[in-house]
Amino acid sequence: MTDRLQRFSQNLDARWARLGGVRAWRSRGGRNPDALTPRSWARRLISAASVGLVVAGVVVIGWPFLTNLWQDRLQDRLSRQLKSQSLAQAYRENRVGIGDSLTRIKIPAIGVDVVVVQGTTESALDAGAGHYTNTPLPCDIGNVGIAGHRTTYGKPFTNLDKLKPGDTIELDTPVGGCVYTVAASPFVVTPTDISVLDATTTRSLTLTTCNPKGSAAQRLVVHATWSENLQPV
Amino acid sequence: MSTVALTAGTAAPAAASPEAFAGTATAQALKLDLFGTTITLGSTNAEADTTPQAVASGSGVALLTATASSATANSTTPTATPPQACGVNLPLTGILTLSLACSQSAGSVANSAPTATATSNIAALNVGTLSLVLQLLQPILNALEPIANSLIGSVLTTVNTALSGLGLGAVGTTLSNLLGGLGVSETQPVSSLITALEKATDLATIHVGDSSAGVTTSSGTVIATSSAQAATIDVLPGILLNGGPLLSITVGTATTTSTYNRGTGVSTAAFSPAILTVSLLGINVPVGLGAPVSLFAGTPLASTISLGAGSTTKNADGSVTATADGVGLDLLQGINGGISLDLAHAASGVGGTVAAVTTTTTVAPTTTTTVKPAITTTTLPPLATTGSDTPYLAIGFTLLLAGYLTRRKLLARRAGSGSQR
Repeated sequence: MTDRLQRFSQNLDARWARLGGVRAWRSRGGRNPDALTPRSWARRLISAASVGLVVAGVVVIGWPFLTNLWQDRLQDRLSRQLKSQSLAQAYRENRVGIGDSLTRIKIPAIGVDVVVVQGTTESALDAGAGHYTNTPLPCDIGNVGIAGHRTTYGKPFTNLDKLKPGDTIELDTPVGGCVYTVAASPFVVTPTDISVLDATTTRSLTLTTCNPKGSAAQRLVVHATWSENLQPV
Repeated sequence: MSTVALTAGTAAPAAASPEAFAGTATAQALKLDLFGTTITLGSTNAEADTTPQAVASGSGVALLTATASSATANSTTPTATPPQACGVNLPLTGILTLSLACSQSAGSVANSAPTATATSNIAALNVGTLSLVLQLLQPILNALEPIANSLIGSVLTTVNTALSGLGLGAVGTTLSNLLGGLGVSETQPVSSLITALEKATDLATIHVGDSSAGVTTSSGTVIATSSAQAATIDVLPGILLNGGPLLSITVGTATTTSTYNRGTGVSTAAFSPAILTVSLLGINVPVGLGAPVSLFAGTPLASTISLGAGSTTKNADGSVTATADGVGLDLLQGINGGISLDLAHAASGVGGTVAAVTTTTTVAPTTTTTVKPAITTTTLPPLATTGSDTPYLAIGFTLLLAGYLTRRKLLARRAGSGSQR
């Protein structure tokens, strides 16, 4: 016990000497060097802020990936909903709610296979792709419009610019399906050029996405015409 | 700040055409746009037109589908009333009710008249212990009521008489009017006050981020209304004869109304914004700045600040829009879209044309005269936004670099001060 006390006392003395002894202590105003001063508080605050900046940086860099994860989870739920009887009934009665599953879109040429939801509101498009509510239902007569993300939320339309005339686009709705064929090469319009969604007397499909990648300055448009029904619609 | 998309189409050829109208209303309690990334809380939209179609949607938190609701009504589905969608709904009967991120939408088409309404909130807390307290105090109140009525009644009468004698009759009248607003009688003050308190639905309600939007069609008019409040505290709601609260404090209010007269084809718009509104016994005192303030116009740092501001616009086709902002900030507009904050933003618009009347004269056979040119009014939103201008990598790496450098400097200073010791 005595040995331990002696060792402790020696360590304390050695530490005190390293700190400069009584003279240095007095020169510091006689304050405990370990006490929290305003300066140490500021240092802690800056330290916390630096950690916060690093965390914020990681989150911002990872944001597109996070949206992909979110969209992936959402697609699981939408896939189940697309197969439900209640949705089929709602679809027949044209009362599918905004954000609910509407159809599955498959574009083999660019590896697209996602569920398209009703509506193109910001929250609806979390699913990756949405149907313009002011256009006919998929496979109906008229110009069906579908918008899809290009860089986030699963980026289903990331390679839309690679589509060529003749490529096929399949829509599978709760009450049947149909196939469209790309009619012309993709082209670019301004966001306000809504004429691309103008009504047509024949069955056609228009896909839109933002252009160039990572920007919302323009829209990339693909027009396709109906080629066949997969099942009676 | 968002605007209402309400544009007119091209004039139809000279021929008889049916009536056409469209109304749209939108409101957001909070919308934050940070260099292209948007967060919207408490938002509502409503649209109705002559299709006939009524579409309403709302969301407590835009990113959470569980808090969103939508309703679409048309000729085949004349009524759509989906249940309320809520993030959290916690009712403790008689004591308090807490609901977070709720929205409700409804649409109907009756006799070709479409109506769409939507409401939403971020948080609502109703403290409803008042009836419980009154029940507990009932025996005491019953015993004291006759004496208190007589005593306070005579005091009030004496005060009124004295004020009249001093030539301050107006003060007495104001006092009587205020008590009258509560339904409190001067002869039976305590009894009538208890009756008034029993009418109060809650002790207090606190609402954060309420918004509502609606388009209503009647035989004579189409009215689009929207309103949003950042936060509202109501003390003793329902106590006034008109159903209002005793005291109400609202931070950030924006209300707009656009009306289309189906008979004359004329549209009018109005707005009412305020940073703060205090209402005591039904008397409103709104506080606002007025016109928006623009700073650094024409430079990348261009910024606009709107505090209790609003505007109306009349388009060439006769359609109108109204917007109002409780608090609206558009900062650094030239830098990647900048930062935009709307706290209580409301907008609405209507437009249309009456049915064109075609008359055939007998003087000149086969001559047809169209009395009024037909203008088709439709709501045409731009193509969906499916991308963002936000340079995530650049911003992320900048933040990382800033964090790393700060930390490095901090550690270097710490090491330096350590070696000095």
